[in-house]
Amino acid sequence: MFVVAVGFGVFSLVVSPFLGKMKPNPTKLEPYECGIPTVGTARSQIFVRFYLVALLFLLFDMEIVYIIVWALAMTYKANAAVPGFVLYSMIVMAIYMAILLIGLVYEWKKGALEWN
Amino acid sequence: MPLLSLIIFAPIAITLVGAIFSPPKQMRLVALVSMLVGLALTLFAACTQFDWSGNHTAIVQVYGDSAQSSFQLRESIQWLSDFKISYIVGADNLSMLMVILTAVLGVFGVLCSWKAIDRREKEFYIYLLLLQTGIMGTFLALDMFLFYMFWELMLIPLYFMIGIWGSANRLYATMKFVLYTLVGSVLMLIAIIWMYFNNGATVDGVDTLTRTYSYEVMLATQQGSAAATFHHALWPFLALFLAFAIKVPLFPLHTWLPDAHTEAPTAGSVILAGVLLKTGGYGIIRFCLPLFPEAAVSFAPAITWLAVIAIIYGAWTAIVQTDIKRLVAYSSVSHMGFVILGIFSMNPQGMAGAVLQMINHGISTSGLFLAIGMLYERAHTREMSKFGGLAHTMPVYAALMLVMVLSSVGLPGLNGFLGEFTVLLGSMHNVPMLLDAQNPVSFAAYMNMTHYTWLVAGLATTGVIFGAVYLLILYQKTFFGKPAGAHDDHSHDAHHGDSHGHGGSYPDLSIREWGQLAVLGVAALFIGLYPKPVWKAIAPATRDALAPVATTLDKRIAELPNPGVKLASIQSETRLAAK
Amino acid sequence: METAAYVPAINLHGILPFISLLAGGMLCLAADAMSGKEGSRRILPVISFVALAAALVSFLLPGYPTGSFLENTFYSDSFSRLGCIVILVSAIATTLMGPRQVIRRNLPSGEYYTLIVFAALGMVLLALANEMLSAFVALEIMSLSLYVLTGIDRRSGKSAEASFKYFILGAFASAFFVFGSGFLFGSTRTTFLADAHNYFATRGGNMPEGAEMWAFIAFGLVFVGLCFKLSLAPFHMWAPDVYEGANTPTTLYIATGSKVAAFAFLIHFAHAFSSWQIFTAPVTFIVGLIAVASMTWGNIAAIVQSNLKRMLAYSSVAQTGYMMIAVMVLVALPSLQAAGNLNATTIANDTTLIYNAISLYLAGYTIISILAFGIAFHIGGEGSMAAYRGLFHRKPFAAVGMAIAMFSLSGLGFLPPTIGFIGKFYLFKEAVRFNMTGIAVIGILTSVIAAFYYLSLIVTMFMKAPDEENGIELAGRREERIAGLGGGDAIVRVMLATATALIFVLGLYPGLFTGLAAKAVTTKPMTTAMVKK
Repeated sequence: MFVVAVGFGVFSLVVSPFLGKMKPNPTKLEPYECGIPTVGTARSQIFVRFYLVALLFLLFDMEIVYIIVWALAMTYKANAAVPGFVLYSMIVMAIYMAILLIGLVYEWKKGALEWN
Repeated sequence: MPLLSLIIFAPIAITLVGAIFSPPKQMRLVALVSMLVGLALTLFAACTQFDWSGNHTAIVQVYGDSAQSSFQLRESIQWLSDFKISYIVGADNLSMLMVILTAVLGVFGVLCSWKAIDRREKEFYIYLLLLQTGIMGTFLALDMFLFYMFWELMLIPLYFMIGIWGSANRLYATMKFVLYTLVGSVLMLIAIIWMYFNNGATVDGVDTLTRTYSYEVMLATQQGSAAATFHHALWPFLALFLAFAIKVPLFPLHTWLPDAHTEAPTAGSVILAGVLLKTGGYGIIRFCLPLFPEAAVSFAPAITWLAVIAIIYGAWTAIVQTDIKRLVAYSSVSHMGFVILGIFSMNPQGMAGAVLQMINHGISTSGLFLAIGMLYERAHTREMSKFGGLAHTMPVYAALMLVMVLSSVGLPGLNGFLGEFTVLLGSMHNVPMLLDAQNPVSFAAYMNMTHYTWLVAGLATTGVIFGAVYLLILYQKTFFGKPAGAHDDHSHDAHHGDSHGHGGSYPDLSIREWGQLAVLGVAALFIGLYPKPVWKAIAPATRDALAPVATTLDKRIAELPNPGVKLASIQSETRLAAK
Repeated sequence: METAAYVPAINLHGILPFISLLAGGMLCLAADAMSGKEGSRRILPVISFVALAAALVSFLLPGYPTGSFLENTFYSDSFSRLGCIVILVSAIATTLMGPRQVIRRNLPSGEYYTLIVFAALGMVLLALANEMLSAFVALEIMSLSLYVLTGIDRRSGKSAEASFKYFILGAFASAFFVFGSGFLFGSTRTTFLADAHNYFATRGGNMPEGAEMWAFIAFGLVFVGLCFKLSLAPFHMWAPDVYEGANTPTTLYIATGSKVAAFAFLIHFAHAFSSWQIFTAPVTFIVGLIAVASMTWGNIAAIVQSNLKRMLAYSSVAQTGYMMIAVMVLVALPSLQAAGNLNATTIANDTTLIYNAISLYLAGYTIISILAFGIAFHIGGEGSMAAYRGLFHRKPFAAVGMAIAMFSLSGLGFLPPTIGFIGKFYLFKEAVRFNMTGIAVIGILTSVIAAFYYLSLIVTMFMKAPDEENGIELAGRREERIAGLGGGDAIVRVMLATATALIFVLGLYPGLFTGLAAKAVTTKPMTTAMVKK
């Protein structure tokens, strides 16, 4: 069964270039999307700052994802009922925040947040 | 007093300390002193502390395993106790003979480098002494692992000596030498590990194993029982034998030797030919035969044929050489073939002859290399055609060289004759081959060659004749006839700095130079004329090496299906061996 | 106080190294942000050194816990603990070479040291990890730091190329790893290796339909991911380019630290499967195949290299191949036990011996690498062979040190024995003990091939005259002279001398190291549960 499946896939891939008729013309070779004709080159340059901002956004976005999970855990009644749970969680989050803060300070000082 | 450890380590220690304080030009003096100290210690040990009778036995303990040991001057220290590896050195007659040879030739190794080595002296002598340490340790180590370490230690200094101070093609030669030797020795390591795990005896299908690296314990275990585990082992024997056969070197494995000899500085050649090759023969006698008698007997006919091929092939190849050093190198292949032939005859004559042949080869071939080195220092060439008529200009040199050549040829009255003659005598009663002829399925029986040991001996004898041919050609071309430079228009060799354009007019030998050759010449003459003390020293070594093999041979003879005509003679041979 | 009631049983000593590494990395970042270029060049090496040393000390302290900690996500046994020690030693060596490297190529020192410390954190976590997701996070912390460290020299095209290659292939490997973790969860319903071990022990004989294949796929994928990190053939393609392109301290770090970490985790991972009876035979074969491929291909490809760092890259492929021999023996233990060749009382002992062999080899390899790469760094020239022609005449000590490194890498067993030789001897001994003589013979024959190129370098250094004509002007020399480091710095020299000494000391007394291993017993024995169907 496995051999047949793999064999069929490989067979089709190998055979199709030989059997198919190829009549390329400029319209066919164009990258085609949504029926709109291509404008300019696909390799247009984007200012490097955008990447930096995107990266920073991604980082802090991820951190928010973690914080949401933490916050949800805090709302569980079963958890909140445990004595000392809140304090413990707060300490953990404080450490987490401290790490984030150092990262932010680092970026700031390095000038990563300045546009010019 | 840890005498053997001093013999091994004192010279290198003196040299290392001396290297810190002495200026480079005086390093040779430091090295000479170190070698002389080593020689003095060796002679002291051999003459006063060592019992040559071969009757010494004692019970020894290695990591709680006890064994009967015939080794003297033992020193035993627990070293890598995680692995049950210990530092054990000890000597019996065989190793003591080899140690004496090594110590003597070590001194000559320094003397022949006295003027020849004029750059990076400190390094050179450190390597030379390190090499000496490695060889001494190889001959004296009684722990398999320690033996391996010393065995590898021999490699490194010679690698540097050939690579730095060698002639034109030195890098190729030194690499070839190391890699060839390494292939054998690493397989030996695996074999040693195998021996560690499998040393014991099979009793009623159950293995009782004594894990040990100690040679003495292994020997005791393996000899104590007919059901010893090593008896069924073929490939550990082959792995060990390969390592030793490369070092000897046996016929198909010999190709590193001519290159290494040709490119090595004189001291390297002297030590290489004089003692390094003997470590191979020593290893076979010490380890292959006593520990793996069954495998040794089984493979003996094949190995014997290889030895015969080595003898004839080495001689023939030597005849056509034009490079003097290369010629002597091929003669080594031929002469060491006799050693293998003698060992695998497995009878007292063959074995004793083999040991003597090792000593003789050490004397005569190192003598030849020393002499060639002296010539090379003057002419800076080794081409035979560049020389001629040296007998007129260098009479002392010619005379001493003649002694060395004749000793190598095997002239009766000199040492070479005794060794080769005894080996040939032994090979006529090559016991494993006679056994093989009795085996109905063997090739020899099929061809009805009941006398084929005579064929072996006869073929090997031609090696002696060809030996005379190439050595006398060498002597004739270089020492007689007209001086090559007198009518040679092409002698514009760039190196002919001190030859003044005359191929034949070199200054004769200095005292330092002829002294070396004279000592070796006297030794050759002494062994040739009065061999009795040497024979007496060799006899116990022969007995010890052959005892386990004799048991196996007796067993094999008893198992023969149809005892043939020669059986009586085989049995008498093995009884001799067992004595 | 009632608050104490909730706080989970955190073994503070257990996580002390993590804390110190994390704090050290953070401190590095903060200090770099607060001080100027010169100031951070001066202060950051100190901070990172202190952080690494603190972590090292907390591992060395006798009270370091053994067994599971942090809710079973980490497991510390003698092997992983020794692995962590080796990792931190290599990290410290990298840090010690830092100041000169930073000056030589004008690198941003803040990122440089911070990433070394963070990578160390990732490695230590990975070496101790006993749970797939923690392992993955650790792997990523380590890998991402190393990608950046590889490409930190932005002015060098080779460095950028190396970084990119490392990143692409490394990400690929990580994907394999995490995909395999998914399969493991699919087949055993857990990502905890201890639980997986129990699952295989109790249900390995009658797993649900398809789960057996998933488990095999899980092992295969994670194994491939780790093989990438270990640069085992045929997953080694990145190694030569990365080793060559990265700055030399980072090369050392990649060659030793990341490998040790991945190796330690591989052992933990393989242990989880060891209780599964049908697992051992095919996996022994596969591991053996990989070992043989790495040893042969690594050594053969190394011969033709003209750059020292490339040569060492292929050599490290081969060296890891040698270690795989021990893994092969380790994986095969349960099947030997099942076949009645071993009994349960000795198997724990046997496992410990094999662990000892591996950890000795890893430690030896790391020390030798520190020496070899350290001297390559000391010489400069980014591994170009021209810098080594006739080195003995220019820098005799460096040449002798390099020769010692080469001899011990080649495993030549002369006197006094080097750690490289003892390590190889130990590995081969364990293989022969369990009747795997074949692979030992292959291993030792390939080591003869290896001897060729190691000795070729010695030929270049000792037996060839230095090139007077093409006297190479090594990159960064001018900057070094300006900074007063023209002749190299004393710290690196001391480090190299220590490494040289250790090569011989541990060679003569391997008990110093193996004794350490034996004392911290509690290695997990590779036992199989004899479950009858």
